Amino acid sequence: MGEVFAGRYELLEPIAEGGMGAVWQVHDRREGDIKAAKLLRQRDASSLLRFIREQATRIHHPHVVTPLGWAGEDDNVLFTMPLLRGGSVAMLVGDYGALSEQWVAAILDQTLSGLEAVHAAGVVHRDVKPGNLLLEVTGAGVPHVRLSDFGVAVPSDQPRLTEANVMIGTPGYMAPDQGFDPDPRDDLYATAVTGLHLLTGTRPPHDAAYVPRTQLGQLLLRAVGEDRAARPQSAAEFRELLARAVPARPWEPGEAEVLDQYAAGRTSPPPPPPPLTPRETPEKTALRRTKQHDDRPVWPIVVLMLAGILLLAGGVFLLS
Amino acid sequence: MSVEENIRRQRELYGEPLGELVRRATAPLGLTQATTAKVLGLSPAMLSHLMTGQRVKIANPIALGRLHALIDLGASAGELTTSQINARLDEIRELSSELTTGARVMAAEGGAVVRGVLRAVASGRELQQAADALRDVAPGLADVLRIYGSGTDEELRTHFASIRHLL
Repeated sequence: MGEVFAGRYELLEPIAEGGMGAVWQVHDRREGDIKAAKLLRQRDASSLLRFIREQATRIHHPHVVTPLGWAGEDDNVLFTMPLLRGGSVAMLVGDYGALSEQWVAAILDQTLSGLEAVHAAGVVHRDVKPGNLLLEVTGAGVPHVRLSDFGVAVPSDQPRLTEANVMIGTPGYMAPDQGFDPDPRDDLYATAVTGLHLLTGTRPPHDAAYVPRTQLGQLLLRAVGEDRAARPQSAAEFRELLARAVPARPWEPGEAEVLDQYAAGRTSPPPPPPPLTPRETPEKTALRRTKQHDDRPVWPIVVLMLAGILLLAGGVFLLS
Repeated sequence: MSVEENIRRQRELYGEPLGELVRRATAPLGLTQATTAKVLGLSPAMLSHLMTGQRVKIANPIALGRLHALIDLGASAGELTTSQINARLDEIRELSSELTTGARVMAAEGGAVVRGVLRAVASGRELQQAADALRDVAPGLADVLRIYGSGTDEELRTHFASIRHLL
């Protein structure tokens, strides 16, 4: 049994380590499901403020990961998010290498669609990269991307939390001419580098000689070109250019598919507590096992009821 | 396609089933499956599918290159110290590949370049004296002068691996 946080979230396994905190897989004992949770590591005031701001950045959009709730215990805090079981786009490119244009176009279009909403909310993400694009489990079907990790995102109308002379982002994905003030166009540059990463299967820096001479390749190279004016100026414009470069046609997955990264092992909810009867002969153990198996279907019902009660409670709270 | 058929095809492609191949390489290195996935740059689910024959081929040529390097390392694990193995694992993780041909190219040996620069401009004794002089002012820099100027190859690799993530 892992450590239990705030009497509710059992820490199962770490998913990722970030600069601002670690992301863990947690079992939510109250709702009975598995979630992702970001734990704050540093505990100084500015980290805490940034953390609170991140969990408060709730952009509801099909291509954005929205925080669910937060909990604090002593001087530790975490906030939860839905667990995206397909892993990240970085894993996808690790598994398959260079992706087909249809995959790249789908991932970029959805990322840009998420960025449209993010930018419309007055926020700059500042860390768009394959590792921050998470996936629903869609197998060989059209992927479903959600933009994640708003740990270094900034709202343009609030005081900055990072020092004025610090540039934030991941080297390689940041525009070389990026200024100190957050600019939505920096997210578009990072999206284009991400596209080149997916198209070539290699991390930045990208040599133009290795980028396919297709309309998509040309578009992405222009979007990271030296001429700032020639780059797409908004997520919407980038999407239009993308749609022109890769015209829609029936989905052909090729050999790539988005696997369930949490299908096996400890990721399922812990089994119901064992009965209090002492262990007996092997035969009886076998019998008991059958009985347990019969009992199992009750669990989802309990969980569903709990979820229903919580939903009702939430509704009442909103109404009052 | 059945798992048996997949494993038969793996045997054709790789000489033996990937499950056996990977386990034989990683057992002497003491790697868990999760760590192995990280070193190969494959997702845990993909490695599991490959090792159980639910999937036949390693689709990413770079990952295949890393697997070859890992097999070589596993075969020579007996002659290496733990820190040498760890340094080599870091290198494998960093292994990049040429795009067009699928040929494997070693990541540039950065530590050797630094050593070359230092030795081009100063003698061993000068580097030693410089390291001593800097010990109190800039201990990190003093270490660099000592290790890259006159340290053993192993010290150099270990130091370079320890700072690689900052480069």
